[in-house]
Amino acid sequence: MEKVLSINNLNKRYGKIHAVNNLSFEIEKGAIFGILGPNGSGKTTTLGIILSVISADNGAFSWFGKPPSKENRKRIGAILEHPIFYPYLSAERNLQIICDIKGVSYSEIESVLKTVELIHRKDSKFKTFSYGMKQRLAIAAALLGHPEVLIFDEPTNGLDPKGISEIRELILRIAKDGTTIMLASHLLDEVQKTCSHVLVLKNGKKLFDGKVGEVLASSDVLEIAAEENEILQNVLSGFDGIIEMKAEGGLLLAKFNDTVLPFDVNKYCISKGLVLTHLSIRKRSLEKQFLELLSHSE
Amino acid sequence: MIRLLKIEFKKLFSYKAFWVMLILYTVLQAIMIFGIPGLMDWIGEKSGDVSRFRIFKALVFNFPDIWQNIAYVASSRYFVKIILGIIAIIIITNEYHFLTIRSNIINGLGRGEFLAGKLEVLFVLSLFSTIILVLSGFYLGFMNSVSTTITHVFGKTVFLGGYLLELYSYLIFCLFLGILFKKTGVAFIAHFIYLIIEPILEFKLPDNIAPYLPLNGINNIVRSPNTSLMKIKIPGFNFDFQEAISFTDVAICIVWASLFIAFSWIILKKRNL
Repeated sequence: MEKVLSINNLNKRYGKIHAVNNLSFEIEKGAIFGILGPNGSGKTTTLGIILSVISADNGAFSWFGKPPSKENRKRIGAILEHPIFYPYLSAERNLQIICDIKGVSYSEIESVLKTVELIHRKDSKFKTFSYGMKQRLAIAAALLGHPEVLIFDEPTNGLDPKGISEIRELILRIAKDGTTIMLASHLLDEVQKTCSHVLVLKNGKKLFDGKVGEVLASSDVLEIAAEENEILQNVLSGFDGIIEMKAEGGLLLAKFNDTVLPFDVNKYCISKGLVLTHLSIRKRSLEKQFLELLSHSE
Repeated sequence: MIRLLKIEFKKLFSYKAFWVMLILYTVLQAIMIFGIPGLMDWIGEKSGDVSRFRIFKALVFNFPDIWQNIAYVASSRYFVKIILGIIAIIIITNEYHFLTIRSNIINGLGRGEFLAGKLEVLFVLSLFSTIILVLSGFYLGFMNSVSTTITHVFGKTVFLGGYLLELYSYLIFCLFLGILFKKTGVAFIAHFIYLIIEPILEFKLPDNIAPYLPLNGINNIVRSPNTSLMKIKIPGFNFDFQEAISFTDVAICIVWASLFIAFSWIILKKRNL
């Protein structure tokens, strides 16, 4: 897979605080990559570094396989923290400035304003906008020039539930066109609902990096064991309703369709002449898991 | 180059404070230059001695000395050009205040381009001010001058170039203060404090160092006015008024302007946004 972003041993200290601690990760083209972590975990600092507004103490990063440059940044659309615009200029003029910087035709302005449903306010000054409108204008600005990567930092912060779901839908819609998306959030739910990959950050350190399904699997898992786990695995692979299985320690972790009860599994094994030595449900509450991940790192 | 200028003027397009200050500046500069002859006429009328003031006017606004004289008045560091200095400070501190410098960089503007855009705006402002000066010079010159031959009219126009360089360097100094302090108020205060401090420094320091101080350095190309009367040597008052622009003064000015640009560049490059 083509790498859009590679980060290598990045470090940034603010006095005693190690805001980004030896961070390395990669983002593949087309991923919806979530950066999950509590407030103050280094998300925004990391984004600031890769967008060249904060200088790292050491470490390196590359965009599209090339060292950072202004030309690379033109291929990225980003919203860092709050929406930033010239307050006394109209929405349209603010977007024109961005078009001029990126070298994009003004003709795109209308379509991005339509996407975020602000076309009727294009002549209003930015300072007259509500917070939700400002946030939407920021998204419109990020969409100018059809960027290959979109970066959102807490995109639903300060929005009402309707606004939140609109923005999530918008992100998913953009991602469908193959745009790589980076989304920083402290909300587990947000990352889980929108992202394909997740990086969990705490105190600037990477705790986990991988597919959302791996770390935040939503359904419960059955822990199963028998005298001979290999035989058990063979037998279970013939079971109707099994999704996946993997061995962990002396146990077999198996995921089933929601309709399958432990009772059914047990009955099936016995019918195949296999007696289970262990059968229990591993509850995978999302919040619990996320919190566990965070507390284990101490 | 045009692209950066276009971006900068788009930022200023509907920024009321900028236009209000620019108009205020234009009006004040016009009042200052046109007001002097008017004031003289008025004093002359009041005192009943019209002819003496006519002579004075004819001397001051005589081609080619007029160029040096109006450049001298307009370039005074404690005068109207401060308004342009305030504009120079505001156009940069606003970018910090609104955090738009950050979004400019994120959107793909280079830090060098950002600085170059500001320098271009300041150059346009300096050019604008010089053009007003030229226009008022022509008007007053033709109204009051005895001789209007081409050599007279265009003699000493080099002082206009001197004025342009002085003003541009001063605005670069203001831009540097804005970048250094980021906050409009702090940069203003620093500017005015330094305006007061430098003459004190000058007083304390040896005479041969004084011309090299930054504000002196960028304000010494047009050192004094000159008229045909001032060329007459009176015993006991043997002072030579400036006749031409000195190469050393120009060099000092350019060195300071370059240093301010370099300092600004270093700060922009090193500091997190």
